[in-house]
Amino acid sequence: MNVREWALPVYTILIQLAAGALLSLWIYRAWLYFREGSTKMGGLPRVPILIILFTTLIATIGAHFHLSKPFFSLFALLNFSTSWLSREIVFTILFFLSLAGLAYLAWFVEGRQTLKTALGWLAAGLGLVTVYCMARVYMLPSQIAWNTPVTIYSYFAETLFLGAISLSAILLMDLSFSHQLEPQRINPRDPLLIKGLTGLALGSAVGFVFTLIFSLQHIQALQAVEAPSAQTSLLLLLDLYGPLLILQVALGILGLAWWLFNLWRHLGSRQATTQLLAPAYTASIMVLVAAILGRFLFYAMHVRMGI
Amino acid sequence: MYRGASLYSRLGWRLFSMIIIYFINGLAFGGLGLAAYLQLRHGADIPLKKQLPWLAAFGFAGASIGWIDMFLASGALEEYSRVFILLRMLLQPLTGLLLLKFGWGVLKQLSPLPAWATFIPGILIVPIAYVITYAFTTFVTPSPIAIPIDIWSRYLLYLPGSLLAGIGFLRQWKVQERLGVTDVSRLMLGAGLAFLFEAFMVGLIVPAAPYSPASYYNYDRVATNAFAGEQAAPLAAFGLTAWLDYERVLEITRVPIQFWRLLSGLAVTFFVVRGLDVFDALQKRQVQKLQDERDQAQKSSIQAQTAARQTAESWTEALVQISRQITQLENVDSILSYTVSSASSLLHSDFVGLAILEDQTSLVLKCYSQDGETSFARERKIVDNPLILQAMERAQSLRTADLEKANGAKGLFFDLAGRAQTAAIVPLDLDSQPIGAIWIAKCDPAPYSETDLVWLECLADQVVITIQHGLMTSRLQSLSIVEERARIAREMHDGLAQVLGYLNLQVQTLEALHKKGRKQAFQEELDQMRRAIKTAHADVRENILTLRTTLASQKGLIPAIEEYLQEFGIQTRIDIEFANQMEGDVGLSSIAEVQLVCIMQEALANVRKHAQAGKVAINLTDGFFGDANYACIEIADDGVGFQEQESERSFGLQTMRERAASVHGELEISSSPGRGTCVSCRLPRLEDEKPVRSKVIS
Repeated sequence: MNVREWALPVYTILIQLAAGALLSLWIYRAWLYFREGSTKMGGLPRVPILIILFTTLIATIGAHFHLSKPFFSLFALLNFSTSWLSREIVFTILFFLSLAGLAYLAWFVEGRQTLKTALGWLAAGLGLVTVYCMARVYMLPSQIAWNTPVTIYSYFAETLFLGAISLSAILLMDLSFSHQLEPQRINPRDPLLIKGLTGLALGSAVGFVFTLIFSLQHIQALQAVEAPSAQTSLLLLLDLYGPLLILQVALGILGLAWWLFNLWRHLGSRQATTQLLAPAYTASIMVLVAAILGRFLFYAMHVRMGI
Repeated sequence: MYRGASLYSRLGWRLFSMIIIYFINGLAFGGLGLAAYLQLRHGADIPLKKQLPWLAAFGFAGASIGWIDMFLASGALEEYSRVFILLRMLLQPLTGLLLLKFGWGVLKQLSPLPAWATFIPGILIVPIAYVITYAFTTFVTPSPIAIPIDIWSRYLLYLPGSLLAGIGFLRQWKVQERLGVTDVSRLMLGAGLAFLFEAFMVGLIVPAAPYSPASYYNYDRVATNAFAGEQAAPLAAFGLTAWLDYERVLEITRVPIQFWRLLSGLAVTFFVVRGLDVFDALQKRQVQKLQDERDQAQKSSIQAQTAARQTAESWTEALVQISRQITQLENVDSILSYTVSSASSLLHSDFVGLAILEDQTSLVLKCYSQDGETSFARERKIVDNPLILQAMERAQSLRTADLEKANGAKGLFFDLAGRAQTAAIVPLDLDSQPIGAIWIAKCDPAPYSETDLVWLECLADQVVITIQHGLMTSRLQSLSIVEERARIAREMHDGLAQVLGYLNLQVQTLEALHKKGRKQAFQEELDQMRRAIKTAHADVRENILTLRTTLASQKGLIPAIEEYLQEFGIQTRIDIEFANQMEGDVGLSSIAEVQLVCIMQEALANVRKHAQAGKVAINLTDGFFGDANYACIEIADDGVGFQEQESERSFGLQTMRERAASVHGELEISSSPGRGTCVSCRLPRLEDEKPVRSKVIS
């Protein structure tokens, strides 16, 4: 793949990461509200929102490297009614704008929790819609390997998997940063955060399991189709890129297992929660590499059918 | 040499030089690893201590790679070439990982990173993940697996590891420069630059490969898209990328990349090893400095303790000396003089003054010490300093500084007025009544401390006690004298009355005998009357002499005794020999002096009445009995003597014993008929009472 081809994995993976992280963050926030009240919810760190916004920005910029004429990208909006690509772009922009608004409220406006809550859910919804549009772009009749509902399911599963585990790393980075700035005020061992991380770990595990299931389903589906393009795609996936497929699954399992193991050890210890940052970071890299590999394989196995 | 020449001719210059380069490269990294390992074993507490295991491992792994390259290049041990290649493939990423770990440790642990640096890994996670993924994808391309391992080890491990180590050492350079440790800071700068050079040479310049970024600058050799197998248009090299090419480096610099890598390795080894040595030396220097500081602090503490102890001892000695003088009933003025002198020396004062209140109205200077000399006021000087009067009025001690500002210098002392800066004043109270004040002053502007004031108050207490004891002693002496006078008066009265009564009867008897014409009996009675009158006369004269002696005690004991003995000798016509063998003062208390005189008088009275002696020797000596020094008086006559058993019943002798016992003395009487009598009396002296040192000081 050249640079233009690599731009697509940059865009899709980062949008999935951002949408998944924001959704996980808002679920975590809601849980804090129901458990502890509005004070704790209001005190949710602003930094994760900023990081998610930044990720979306990089994804949007990166997407332009895919285009032969990046400066004309806005014209793609004109086909919103007919084109999933246009819808993808529109919802990406809306997602980005809602995130920007949310970041502004979080950093510069005190109170207004209801507005923030609503805007956050809206942004998360827009993110999920963007992911859906992304997946729908590839459901082309000429691309047998992609033209299956599994594409959409696997996109959402990866969104959950990536988002939950990335958010864990983001929350720990923020805790570490805050504790270094205000060691007296910030408790390095936050019981609520630990519970939140446990929930996020379970969410990422669920996402990974579904990713595996959908990948297996995809392979089975391709095996069931006798069309040459389908068989070629299967051959590419299992033969030429077989080692990469194995590596993808192995890295996914390793990353998740490494994170779950460290979290489990931490639950029984009295260490500061910031000690989990390194394992969370390592797990995130492994999971991200696995996700990118998976996207690479997704693009690498496509074989056009027909003219 | 012959074998080397043979090898050279076989292999050619280029290959031979490559072998040498690989060998030295291995040596350099091996040396680095060994130095780190030895430093680790040494257990030195240096800033790089935690990174030493990684550095040692990196050095040894790098050395192994260098020597493997040497064997591969030379073709020696060719049967093991596959093993060497496999080993190299494993060692290369491992070496890169170790360098990365070392670099991260150097960056993070040598000097703490700012809080926002927490987010750097988060920002880099995406590009790192993409690069890693891209690296994995290149492994499925049709090229020997060793090449992607080599390339991606350099890009992903060597490059960031060297960069991190370089930045870490450069940060440490800044830290050491700020601390002023120039020798260490220069080495840190050198190590930082060496690692950056290493990052460029080892991490950025890679072998040719059919995928980017390696393919960008190997454009004239790679024209294949590794994934699609299509003929890709070669990209023109631009700018720096031309340099990131093995062939271009050789072309421009005339030496292969391996030589530059050798230089970077040598530079890294040199600066890091020197840095470790200097850190170690620095640590030892710091430890030595800390030890020296600790020794100095201990020494200062001991000196301070010694000084404090000496001060306490001096104070204790002074106070005990004053107390001893008080108990020994010494002269009040000498005690006050000693007190003032002690205040001057112990409180480091330029002036000390002691004033006593006279007639409840005027405060008169009694005694003072100025510039170390203690004197009594020759003329009556009224002390009217407002601070002193204020202290007396409030019955409160005070210390003050900046006297001129407080208008407190005037009248405080003599020649120091105007130069004195600070003073402390303590009023003297006796039974809650002010009786005077004691004060100290100095020219040093540093004020007196609370401790100084406490010590001055202790001296003030001693002064009050001295004055109180002086008053009591005077009263006691007066009482003793009054008592003695009363006794003499009683004796005179009783003795004289008896004699007069006897004479009256005798006159009546004489009348009767004269009427009867009994001349013989008349003459006998008349002689008897004459003897009685004579005895009475002697008694009266003796009593008068005793009274005069008692009253004349101001003259001093010895002169009073001499005068008494002289008069006694005249009155009684007994030969008196008086020998004073004591040097200086007798050293008895006033009461003891009175008792001594009374004992002597009683003994001499007995000599006059009963001994019929022609000669009496009175000897005054001193001597030690046990631990105490005594004043001893011995009255020995050559009279008729008596049985010693009779002395038990004698009232006079009993009185003498009681007198001696009342002042803790002893009396011994030795006599035998025909051999005279010796009365020995010893009374304890005051001046040789040993001072009791406080056990607390020792």
